[in-house]
Amino acid sequence: MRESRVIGVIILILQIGSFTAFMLSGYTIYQVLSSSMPQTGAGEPLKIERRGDIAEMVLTISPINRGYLPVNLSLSLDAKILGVLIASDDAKLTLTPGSREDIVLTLVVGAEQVKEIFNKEGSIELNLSARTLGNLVAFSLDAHVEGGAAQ
Amino acid sequence: MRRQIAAVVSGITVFTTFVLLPVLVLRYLPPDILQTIRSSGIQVQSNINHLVVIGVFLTLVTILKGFVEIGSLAYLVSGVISSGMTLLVTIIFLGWGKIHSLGMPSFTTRVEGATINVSMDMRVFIYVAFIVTILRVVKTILEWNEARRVVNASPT
Repeated sequence: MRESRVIGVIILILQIGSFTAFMLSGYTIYQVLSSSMPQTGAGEPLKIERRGDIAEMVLTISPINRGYLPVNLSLSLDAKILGVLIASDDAKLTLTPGSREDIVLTLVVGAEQVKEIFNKEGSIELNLSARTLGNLVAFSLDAHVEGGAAQ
Repeated sequence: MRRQIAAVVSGITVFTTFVLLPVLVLRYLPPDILQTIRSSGIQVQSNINHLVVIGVFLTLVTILKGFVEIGSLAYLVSGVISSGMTLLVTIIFLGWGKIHSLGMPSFTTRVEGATINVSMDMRVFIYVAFIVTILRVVKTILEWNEARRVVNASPT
């Protein structure tokens, strides 16, 4: 019966370990992602600054890691007109537990293109990916916002 | 006697986790959250029903395992079945109801002109669940084999 007892102990360790890892990684990813979502309360999530013939569309995200594991976060923001990529920006960073970072994604487009992006022919795409537990657990979100709803 | 008590306690734990808890969660989940989950294509009621059916069956098998002789075929079969069903429940849970996703569930939802696709990668927990299942089956076989050896070696 000794072998079965040893196996029983191994099973218990694996179950407790995987349950703990699942809770820690789930909680960490939830904490980071909930603070990463663009705020839609006060003001627009996507700010547009026009400078002559050029317009900058700026998205600011301030993720906070209130979890217990480091998180590798990557974000990308694309602007498209009729499915063609007009502008793109991306950022990658590692958030250690307790840390906070400000991420600014900027799309530089022609001033006349802004109107096309925000009508039915255009779209904004945001890709957000969070990896933790040594990149073994991942969560990704792809948001495709059609022109009329993007503003 | 200790085996029987442990089996009943295990059965109650399994019943609470896989039958009672899902039913209560479904009953007391705020309607707007339930609607959001449903709009993403996740069949909440259907998944809960599957979980409850498997949970009831798993409870019975868990309790049965504690009341049969370790050297009996019933012990071996119930041990293997309970290990397999626990693995199945884990795969269903980590796949958000989709067994074929094998730890990589995804869903798509539309909100006010935006299409949002969400996906997760939790394959590591599926791999661990497979290893645990194999170890549990091996443990059951070892216990069954050892008990049969003791029975066969004892004088008639």
